[in-house]
Amino acid sequence: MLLQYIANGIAIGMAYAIVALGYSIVFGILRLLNFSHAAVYAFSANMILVFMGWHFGIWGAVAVSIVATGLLAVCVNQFALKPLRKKNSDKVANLITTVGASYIIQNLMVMYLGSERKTFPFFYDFGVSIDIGFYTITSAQISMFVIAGLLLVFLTLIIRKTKVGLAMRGIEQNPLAANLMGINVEWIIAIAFFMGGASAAVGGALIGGYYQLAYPSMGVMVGNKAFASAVLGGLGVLHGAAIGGLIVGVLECLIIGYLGASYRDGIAFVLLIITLIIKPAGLFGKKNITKV
Amino acid sequence: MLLEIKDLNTRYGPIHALKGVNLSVNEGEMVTLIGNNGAGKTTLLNTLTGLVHAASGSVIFEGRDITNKPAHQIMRGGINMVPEGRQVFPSLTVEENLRLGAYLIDKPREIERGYESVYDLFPRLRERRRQNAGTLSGGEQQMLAIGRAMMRTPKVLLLDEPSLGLAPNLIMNIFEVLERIHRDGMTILLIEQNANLALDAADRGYVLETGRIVLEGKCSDLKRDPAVKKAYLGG
Ligand SMILES: Nc1ncnc2c1ncn2[C@@H]1O[C@H](COP(=O)(O)OP(=O)(O)O)[C@@H](O)[C@H]1O
Ligand SMILES: [Mg+2]
Repeated sequence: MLLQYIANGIAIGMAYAIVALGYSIVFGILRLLNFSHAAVYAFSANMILVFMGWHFGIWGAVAVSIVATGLLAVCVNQFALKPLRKKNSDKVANLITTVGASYIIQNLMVMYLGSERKTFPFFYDFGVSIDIGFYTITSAQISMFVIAGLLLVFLTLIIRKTKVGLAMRGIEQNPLAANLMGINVEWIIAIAFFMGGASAAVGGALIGGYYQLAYPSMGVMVGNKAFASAVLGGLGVLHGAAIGGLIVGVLECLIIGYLGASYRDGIAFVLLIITLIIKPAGLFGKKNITKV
Repeated sequence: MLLEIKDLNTRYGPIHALKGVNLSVNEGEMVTLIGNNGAGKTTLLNTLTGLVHAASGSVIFEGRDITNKPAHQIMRGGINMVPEGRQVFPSLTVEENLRLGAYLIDKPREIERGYESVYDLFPRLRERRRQNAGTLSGGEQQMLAIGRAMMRTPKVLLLDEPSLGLAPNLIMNIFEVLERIHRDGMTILLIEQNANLALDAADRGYVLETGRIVLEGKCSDLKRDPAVKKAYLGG
């Protein structure tokens, strides 16, 4: 059974990881805990259903929703956070604003889409499963792992190997100097928000599919788990977010297996608190989140 | 005239930091602006590069008004600045710092040439190119800051107190390089508190006191000026 739980955990953990990336990327560049990210994540799955209603087909709906969710994250930055940066507002004001943005997004979804739970298609389940001894790996778990893994690699390559990525790392260390290199800092920040939003959208599609459910407040729990993953791995460190996500996912599935499903959501909080007490910078991080 | 500053005023709330500054730099010239701590030297550079908002007056570069344009656009136009306190990217390597200096360049061959010319100016940077900038000494960081600004050959190079906090032999080294860059044709506006060195290196100079230009002229004349001697050259 142990291996079965671990396999389940790795699949869902990879999805947490790509949602966690959004916290990590934005924190890296702005030193900001972006609490609107959970609502942005929920937006993606809910919008997939809307787009499907408009006959986009599931894959088309997913593609359009990824772009729309990326743009929503950009809007949060442009309309809520950028004006605050212009006025040199302090960090706490920025943080509270992201919480506010999260409520606005979630409530708009409730207003226009209703708060009830809707079924979400398990679109990447090809109905195949591989039996290895006593445990089973489904094709859906493999797809989840592969899609999320490819996205992780892709985003890591952007940040490590491209000019935009170098600009992000420059801004992270010294925004003033980055500006003097001719970098349009606001433009790069917008790209970072887009990357975070779009990867949360992929996470929304995968997790929505996994549980076959979407609803406006679905971001609350997954957002907390992804946030705990990002902090555990070290905010601002992308591979940290990935490993944090895997740890949260695997522990969650072990707890479901051995203690029962009612304890599953607690583990993220426990890990978050333990991390903050023992190693606030996270497993791979250098920056101390408590100093933010 | 390459760069012209006309009647520039800058305020930080109630502090009137620049009070109608006029200054110009011709193509190929090395101009220095000297002044004591708090005179407004950094404010002048930051205003002309768009980092600080000008209250009134104008900055004209190549005949175009660039007053209060965003900094990244001003840099795009061909101005580069070595800011006060070097401002390197500490956790990026020397080479990545230089690569960011060439951010506005896309041609790989041009970037390669940039590295070569910078390593030629500062051989020490070549030895340290894989090292994080934060592990360099103050002098090496200053070399890196200058090298970074030279990656994309600018039309004018602005320097804010490159000698600050450095040992005398390193200061000599940096100034030799600046004179060499200038001899090769670079237009330079050098801001310094170390008036002796600056007036020796530059062609023309300005003296800034509490936000006002109080003297200007050829450096050879300024060096002989009794007021300059008394206030800036130690007798
Ligand atoms: N960000 C700022 N906010 C308020 N006052 C400032 C700021 N920067 C500089 N000043 C003030 O403006 C004046 C000029 O400062 P600065 O340009 O840094 O001088 P310098 O570079 O010649 O030492 C000083 O009185 C300084 O205190
Ligand atoms: Mg200064």
